[in-house]
Amino acid sequence: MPDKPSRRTFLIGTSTAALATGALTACSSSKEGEGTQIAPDEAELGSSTVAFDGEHQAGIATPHPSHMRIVAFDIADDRATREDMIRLMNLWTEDARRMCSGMSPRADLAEELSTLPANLTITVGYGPSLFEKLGLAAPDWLKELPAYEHDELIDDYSGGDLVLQICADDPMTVAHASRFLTAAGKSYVKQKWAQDGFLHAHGAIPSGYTMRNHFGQLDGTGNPGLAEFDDVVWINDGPEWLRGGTAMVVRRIEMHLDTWDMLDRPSREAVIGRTLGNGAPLTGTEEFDEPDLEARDEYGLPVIDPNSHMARAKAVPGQLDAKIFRRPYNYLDADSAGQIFICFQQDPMKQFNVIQERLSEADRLNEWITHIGSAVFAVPGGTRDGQAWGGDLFN
Amino acid sequence: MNLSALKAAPVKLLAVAAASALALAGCSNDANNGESDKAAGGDQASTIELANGYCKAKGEHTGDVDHGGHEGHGENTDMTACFGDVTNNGDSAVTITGWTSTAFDDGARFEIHEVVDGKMAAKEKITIEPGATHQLAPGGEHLMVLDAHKALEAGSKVAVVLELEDGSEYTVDLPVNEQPAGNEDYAG
Repeated sequence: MPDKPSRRTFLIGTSTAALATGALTACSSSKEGEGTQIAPDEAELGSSTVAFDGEHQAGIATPHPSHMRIVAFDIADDRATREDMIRLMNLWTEDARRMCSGMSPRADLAEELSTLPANLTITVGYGPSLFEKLGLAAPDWLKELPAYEHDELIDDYSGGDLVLQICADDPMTVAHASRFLTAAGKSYVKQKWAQDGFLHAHGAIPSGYTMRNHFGQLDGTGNPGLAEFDDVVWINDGPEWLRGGTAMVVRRIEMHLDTWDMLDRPSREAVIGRTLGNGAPLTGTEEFDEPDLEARDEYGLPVIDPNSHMARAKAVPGQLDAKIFRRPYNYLDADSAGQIFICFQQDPMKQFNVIQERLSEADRLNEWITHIGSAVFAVPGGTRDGQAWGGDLFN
Repeated sequence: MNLSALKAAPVKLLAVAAASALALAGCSNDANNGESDKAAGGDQASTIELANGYCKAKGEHTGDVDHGGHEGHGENTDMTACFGDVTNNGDSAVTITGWTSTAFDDGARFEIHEVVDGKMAAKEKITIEPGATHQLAPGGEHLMVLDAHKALEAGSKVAVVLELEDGSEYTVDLPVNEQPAGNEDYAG
């Protein structure tokens, strides 16, 4: 199977060793050109892998790499059959499994681009339209989200029959995996949209830190920990193919940075409800301090504005509580900046939707953001070695 | 040997480990990548292994084809090819004299081809020395299929039989993949 020794894994091994040995030799023989040498720890990032197979697909609970491309596809008109989907899943799973373990996929003539996994993960999801086209029973929650008041959705960033979320700590790895898989599946699917996102570079901040968005805000402080994933993220019942899976919501959120820039720092923090520095609630000193929404200042005014982003995102007593696991990326285009908001949960209608309705109603941040894309996907459970994505869904 | 083992090794040991991996890869019988290969009827077949193999997807062929045009790719072709790395794990040379597959039309023809100066030409046989790996790849030697009219769908599997000089046969299931390269001029 793919992780047994093979000629290609051997070649990767030698090139890594050669690289490291080369760097060493260069260090001892010359002081000139030291800036161009590859440090051993950098070569190690290139060969770092995240397990592809497992109970859950990688790219959800696994670490948050610095780069992502998320690509949505529509199936070709004459390919809306289960047999076609089985072949596509065979093809994509095998290619993805090989690339994620640092092996070049079959038929790849640019193997130097696919043998630096850099923590590559590739995650598949199925949109509601795929189930309609194939006449398959979809989970109840798998439908487009309701229209929220401030939405200005663009079709080019919305919907899709299938999705591939491709993450790695090397943007070249992400680019090649995305291009290769799109070409590999070209007789079955056409790209509907693609979005590129990034975080801080790997190593620029300690791993495990909350990401920052273009507002300068720490984003994801309230995320559930891994211990809560069985209750919040992973689907534990229903059809076999969905067990160990989850529901993915993708929202493209444009940020209006030109007007945001006009706010002074205290105003920005008041809108968010947290400090920009370490993300502490305005009633606390550390990022993970529990906010005190009842606290009043010397004039009797709430310290945390009840319509701040953080306050609106939280359930108040009597409201349905909802948690989601956010795994967003920043984007910057020629004329637009914002966030590719991605979250995982068991049921978007009972989780993302509950929070988004509260935010849509009164979040002060709405003045500086507009949701311009929306998609929902069912993410099947993980694969065992040799199995294809989708399990028994297409049988 | 895997990436994490390599990563954990100190740099100088790494090169040694890589060198011994070469020796290992050269004589190992289980270094296939998921293809279910089997040998029957002789000795040569039991000593070779085709790894990283695949056949090139094609659409259905419905009309006449100009053989001066393209090999294998496109909407309307009756040709395709299979590729992979054939390793001889035995002590003596192995010669591939032909190949076949039941995955194609009854009248399909199976040849060994090479590309010389950008032109394809038929080749009688391929000999692989002990311990050597012979690459079958677009732009080089490959297993050519002609008069193949049915579509060959990406993501499906094809059983390929390599015929060896001593009469033995090596069978391997190859996946079908898109391969845009290899549309060299056809000379033969």
